[in-house]
Amino acid sequence: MASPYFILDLTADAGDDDVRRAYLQKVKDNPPDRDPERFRLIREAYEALKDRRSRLDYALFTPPEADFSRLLDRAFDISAPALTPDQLQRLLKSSSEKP
Amino acid sequence: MPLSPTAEHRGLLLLTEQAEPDAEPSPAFAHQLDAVKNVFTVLRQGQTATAVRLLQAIPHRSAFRNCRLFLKAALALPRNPQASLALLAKIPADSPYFAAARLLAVLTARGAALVRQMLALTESERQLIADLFAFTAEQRALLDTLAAYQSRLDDDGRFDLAVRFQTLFGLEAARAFGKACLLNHDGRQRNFDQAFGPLPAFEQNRLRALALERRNDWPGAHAYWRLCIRELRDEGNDELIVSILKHLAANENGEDLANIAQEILIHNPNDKDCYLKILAHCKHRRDHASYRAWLDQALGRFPNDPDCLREAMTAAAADPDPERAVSHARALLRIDPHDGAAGNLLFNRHLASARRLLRTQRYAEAEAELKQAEPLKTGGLANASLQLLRLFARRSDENDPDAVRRFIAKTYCHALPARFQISMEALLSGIPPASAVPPAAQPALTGAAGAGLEQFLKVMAYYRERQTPPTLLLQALTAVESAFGQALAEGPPDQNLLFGCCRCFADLGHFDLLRHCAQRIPPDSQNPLGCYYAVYAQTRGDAARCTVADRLELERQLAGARSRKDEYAATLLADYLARHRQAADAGLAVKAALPPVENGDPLAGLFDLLADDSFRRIDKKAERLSRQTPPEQLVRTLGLSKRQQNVVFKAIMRQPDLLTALLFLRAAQTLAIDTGISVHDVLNRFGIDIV
Repeated sequence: MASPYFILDLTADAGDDDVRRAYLQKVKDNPPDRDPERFRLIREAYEALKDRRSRLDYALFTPPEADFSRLLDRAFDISAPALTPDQLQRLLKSSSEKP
Repeated sequence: MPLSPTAEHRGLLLLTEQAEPDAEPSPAFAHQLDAVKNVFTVLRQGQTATAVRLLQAIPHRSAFRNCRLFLKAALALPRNPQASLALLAKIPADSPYFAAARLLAVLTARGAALVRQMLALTESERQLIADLFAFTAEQRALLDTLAAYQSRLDDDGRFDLAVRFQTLFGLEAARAFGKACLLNHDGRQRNFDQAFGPLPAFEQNRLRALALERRNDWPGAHAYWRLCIRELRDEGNDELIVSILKHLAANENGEDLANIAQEILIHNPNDKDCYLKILAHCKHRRDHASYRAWLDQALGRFPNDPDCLREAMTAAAADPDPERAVSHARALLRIDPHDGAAGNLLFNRHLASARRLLRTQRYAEAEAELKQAEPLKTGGLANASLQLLRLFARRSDENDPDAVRRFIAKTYCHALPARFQISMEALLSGIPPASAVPPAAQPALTGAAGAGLEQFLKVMAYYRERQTPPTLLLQALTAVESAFGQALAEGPPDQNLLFGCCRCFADLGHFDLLRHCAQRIPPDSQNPLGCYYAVYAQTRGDAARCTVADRLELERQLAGARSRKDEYAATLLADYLARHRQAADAGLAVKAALPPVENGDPLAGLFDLLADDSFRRIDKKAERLSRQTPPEQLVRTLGLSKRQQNVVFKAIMRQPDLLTALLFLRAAQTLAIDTGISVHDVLNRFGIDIV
C-alpha cells in the first residue's frame, strides 16, 4: 500500500502546515463524491500525518514495506523514446520476420 | 472491399527492403508505397510536420493503412504515449504490422510495468526494446537476471537483487527495501550489514519488535521495545520514549497499564491521560489512599481541566464530601456551563436540600432552594421532580388545581407514572402521598397502559439511579398497587414491559406486584424468565419454598436458557436453583416435618425420596399421560370400586394436585418403577377417606 507521504505528495520532513495544505488540496482535487475510495485513502493519510505525534507514531510503528516494484520503478524511470527512422525500420523488420 | 493481406504483407516487405519490387505494380499500390517511403525520407531530414502531412494523404482503403497507424503512433510516442497506445489498438491482430505495434506499445510503459511487459517478450524482442530505450549495462543486467529468475523470484532473490543493484535502485531505496526484508527473515541481518552497513541498535530492536508484532508475539515484541527505550534513554529522547510507552500501554490493562502510565509521567509530567488511567486503576483496586494522592497531583497540575475536575467531583460525591463535590461542580460549570454531570450534581443537591426543608416545613426556604435549581434543570423526570417539589412548597391551598392538572397531563402519559412519582417525591419530602396533591388534581387513569408502564419503569429507574432507599420505593409502590393492577387490566401489555416490571419488582422484593405481572406473562412465552418470576413470586424469593414440580420446571427452563445462550436468564435460574439445593441440604428435616398442605406441595412429601433420574422419567411420562388420558379414565385404572371412583373424582375437582399425584403414580406403574407408594398412600396424603 502507498505510504501516506506518497498519497499526499509530501516529503518526510513535512510539518503540520504542509500536511494540512497538501490534504486540503488533495480533497479539493478528489472530492468524496467523485471517488470515495480515493478520498478514504487521502483521509487516512492525513490522519496518519496530521500532527507531530501521529507522524512520530507512523515512523516508529509502521513496518517498512518490502515493495520490489518500487525499486523497479526507480530503476526504469524512463520516458518513451523518440524513435529514429532507422529504429522504426528495425521494428517493422522484426515484425516482418515473423511468420 | 477488405484489405488484401497479401498486398499488405508485400507492402511491408518492400518497405523494409526484404523483397524485390514488382515488374508491373498497380499504379495505386506504387504511389502509396512511394508516399510511405517519402515519410521516412522527410523524417530523416527532421521534418516531422511534413511526415505527419504525408501520412494523412495515404488513403484509408490502402494496403498501407495499418502502416500509417503505426507511424502516426511512433510519432506521437514521446509526447503522448496514451494517444500512441490508442492508435496502436486500432491495428488488427491479423495485420502484418501487429507484431511491430505490440513492441511499440511496450515503449509506452515505464518502471515496474515496463519490466513486466519486457519479461513477457522473447529474448531478441527484449534486446530490441532495450536498444530502443538505450538501457545502460546495469539495466540490461538486471533485466537479464529477472528473465533468468522468471516466476521463481522469491524474497531471498529480491533481497539479493536489492543488494547487487543498489546503485541502480538508489542506495536509500535499496537500503529501505533491505530493512523491510529483515522484518520477514532475521537471518538476512549479516548480509544486510555487509551490504549496507550495520543498523543502529535502536533500529535493529525496533525492526525485531515490529517483526514479532506481525507474528502476534506480543511479549517478545514488548521485550524489544524495552530495548529500544534503553537505547533512547541515554540520549534523553523523551518524546520517542513516550510514544513507545503509549504503544505498549495500548496492549496492557490493570496494574501493567497503570505502571506504564506512571513511567510515561516521568518523561512527560503533563500527560493528563496517564493521570486518568492511574486514577481509574486505583479506583478499580479500591486503593483509596493512592487514588486521593494521584487525584491531588492531577488537580495540582491541571486545576482547570474539566476531566480532572469531573473526576474529583465524582470522587467527592461518592466519598461522600458534598461540599467538595459542589465546589468542584461549580468550578466545572465556570469552565463549561453546559457540563451535564456538574449541572446534575448541583441540581440534585438543591433538590435534596429542598426536600430536607420541606420535611421541617420551611416552605419559603425550600422554594428559594428550588429557584436556584431552576437554571440547572435538565428536563424530563428531573424537571418533574422540581415542579412537584415546588407544588409541595406552595402547599395545597396556594396551588391552583387546574394548573396542577395541566402540569400532570403535560408531564405524564398515564396516571400510573404520575402517581408513582408524586408518591416518591412526597415520601422523600416527608409528606403523606395521599395528600401530596389537591384531590381535585389527582391524575385520572387515562392514556395507553403500555406507554404508562414504560414511563413508570423510567420513573423507577430515575429514582433507583439516585440511590433512593428501597424502603421508600416499596412504600411508593404500595401506594400505586391498585393503579398498577388497573393498568395491567386495561389490555395485554408488551411482554418486554412485563419482564421489565418483573425484574424491577423482583429486585426490590415487591412480591405481590411481581405475582400480578408474572400472571400476565402468557404460559407459552419463550422467555424462561416467565416461569422463574412466577415461582419467585410464589415463594416470595425464598428458594427453600420451591416445590419439586417447580424445581423440575425451573431446571428445564435453565437448560433452555443455556441452549439459547440467554446468559441473564441462565444466571438467575442457576442462582435460584443453587439456593434451593442449599436450602434442601440444610433443612431436609424441617421440610419433611411440614404437613403436606402447609408445605403446599403434597407431591414433594410423596415422591421426595425418589432419585432425580427416576423422578424426571416419571414426570415426563406423567406429562404425556395427562395429555392422553382424561381424569375419568385415569381414575378407572386405579382398581377402585365405582363408589370409590366417584369420591376420588370429586376430590380431584377440589384438589387439582391430586390428579398430578395420581398421574405420577400411574406413570411410575407404567414405567415399572417401584416407588413404594400405593393409591391409598396418595389418597391419605390428600386426606381422602374412601373406606
